[in-house]
Amino acid sequence: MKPPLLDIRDLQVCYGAIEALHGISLSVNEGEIVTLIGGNGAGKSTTLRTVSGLIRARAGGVRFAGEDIGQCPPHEIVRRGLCHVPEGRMVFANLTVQENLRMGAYLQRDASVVAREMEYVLGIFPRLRERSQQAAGTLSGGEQQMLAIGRALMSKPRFLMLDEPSLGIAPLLVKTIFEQIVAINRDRGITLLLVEQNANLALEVSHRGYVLESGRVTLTDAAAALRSNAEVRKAYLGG
Amino acid sequence: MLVGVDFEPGTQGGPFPHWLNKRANPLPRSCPGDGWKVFVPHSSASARIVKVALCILPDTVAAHVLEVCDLSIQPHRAGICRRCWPSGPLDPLTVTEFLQQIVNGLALGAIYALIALGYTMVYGVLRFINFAHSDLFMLGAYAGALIAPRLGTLLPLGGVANALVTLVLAMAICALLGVLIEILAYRPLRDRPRLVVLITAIGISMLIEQVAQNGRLGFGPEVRRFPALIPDVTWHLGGVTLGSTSVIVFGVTAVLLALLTWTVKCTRVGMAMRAVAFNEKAAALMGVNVNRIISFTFAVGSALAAAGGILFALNFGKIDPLMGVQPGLKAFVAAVLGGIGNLPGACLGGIVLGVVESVVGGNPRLTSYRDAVAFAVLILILLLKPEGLLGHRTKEKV
Repeated sequence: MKPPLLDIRDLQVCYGAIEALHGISLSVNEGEIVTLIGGNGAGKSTTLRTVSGLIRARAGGVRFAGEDIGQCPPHEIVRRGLCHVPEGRMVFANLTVQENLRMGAYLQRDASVVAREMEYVLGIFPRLRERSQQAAGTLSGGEQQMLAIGRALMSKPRFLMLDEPSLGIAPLLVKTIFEQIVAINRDRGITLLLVEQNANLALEVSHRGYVLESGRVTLTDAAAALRSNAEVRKAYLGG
Repeated sequence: MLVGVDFEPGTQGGPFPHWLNKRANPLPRSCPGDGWKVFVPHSSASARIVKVALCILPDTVAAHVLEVCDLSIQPHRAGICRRCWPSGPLDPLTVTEFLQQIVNGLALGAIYALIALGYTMVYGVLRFINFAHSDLFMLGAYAGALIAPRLGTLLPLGGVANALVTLVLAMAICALLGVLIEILAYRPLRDRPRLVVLITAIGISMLIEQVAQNGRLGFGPEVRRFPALIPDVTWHLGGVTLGSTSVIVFGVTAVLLALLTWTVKCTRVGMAMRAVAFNEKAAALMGVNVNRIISFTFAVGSALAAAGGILFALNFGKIDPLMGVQPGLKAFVAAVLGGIGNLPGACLGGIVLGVVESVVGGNPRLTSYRDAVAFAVLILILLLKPEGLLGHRTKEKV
């Protein structure tokens, strides 16, 4: 069997004196959609931030496509095709929508490739085309999320991590965004790791899932199995 | 410059100029004569504002100010108390002199703008004030002074070409020094509280100044003559004198500002600068090497400071190791005035400050107050519009 695209082994992360992750291990295979679910402070976002290099792990390793990326700075990790859409979207409010997308393709020096990717992103999120000359700060929350995802796609990632893509967004836009997430995975073969408070929705589109509780993985299974698991239903899926 | 208007303490009554007493009266065509008295209370805040207005404006304009402020109805709120004011009448500033001071102020303001841009750019990406910036301004001037005479013997170019090469070389040297300072002093402290970096910046500034003043290690404490890089020509437009130095100051500043605007707005590295300024982490997630962008920012800021230093030295003809302190502080005021972190704001702030300072300083009685005015502007801005003229109030979005 092929080794997993992303392989996290025994990851420990501290914020000052407080340990946030007490040795997490998880893996994501090429082509999969995997969801991390868990309550507030379970360590979901910390896991993603550590993988993308924003936080340094105290111990443990992160391997991406067979290479150790534990010590790489964030821009090196992006270069390898691992892209992170952070919580709270973090679009560049002072830049226009188009400039934000161009920032996404920062490492891509070939203008024709950038133009093609831009066309693709504006195709799947037509709202962004209407607003391409607007400052990103003027967009609604849902539009900013589309922009954040679109911006990440501009770098032509192999692997995309999305942190809370539905947070604070109108339900109708959540539906659009999740449809596009599935389409990105299906049509472009991009592997996805989702962190989502709307566990029901996330597990619906995922292949597998991990349950995190206070810095530890407590359960892992196929998405369908997690959805029917009595304890998971009680704790995360609203009964 | 209300000639002969005598400002007396007191709250009411007294002989006012006729145009202060009766609004309907026509404004005087020339300066009011001797012997007028304006009575004001000591502590009137509006009186102080009017005081500044009266002092910096030509008297025909000043009369309008009094009229517009409706001071004819409440004359006791206008004017200046004699106790708070240098005794004797103020000298007149004619319209020509006023225009001359505007021209001088624009040249000075352009230099302030060049320095202020460095402060504001570094603040934009790192959120701290690089106090060593004013010393790069000084080092730029010294680099120019050291390069120019040697260049003349090496390259038999014309005067203007020589000046240009000197400018570019000095800018390159300071760009390197700026980058070096950031890497050695600020980068190791990147994750520390801002105050630590700020104090380090003050330390670096002192270090550079002390070394520069040392005769063996640096340049020595004495004031030196700055070589005249360009032929000194003056033009007379009406009564206003325009020197070739001023023209060079305007020209060089305009070219550098255009280059900077183009870099920031239209290039990949400029876009990355704006992205890093907005959110360093998000920029890193786009694949931006944040350290490299920060180095680039320091290089550009320091190069602009060097250009400012050379233009300043050209304008005043002399340099010394502490020449950066005052202009540096003024440029900092300019950056805050325009809205720290805002590039057009820094330019506007520099120009405004330069003009205000020159117009105030152009009055012989007020010359010694010119620096006080600059810092009064800072205090007013911090009180009334802390975000600066073009700055935005930062909103934390949850």
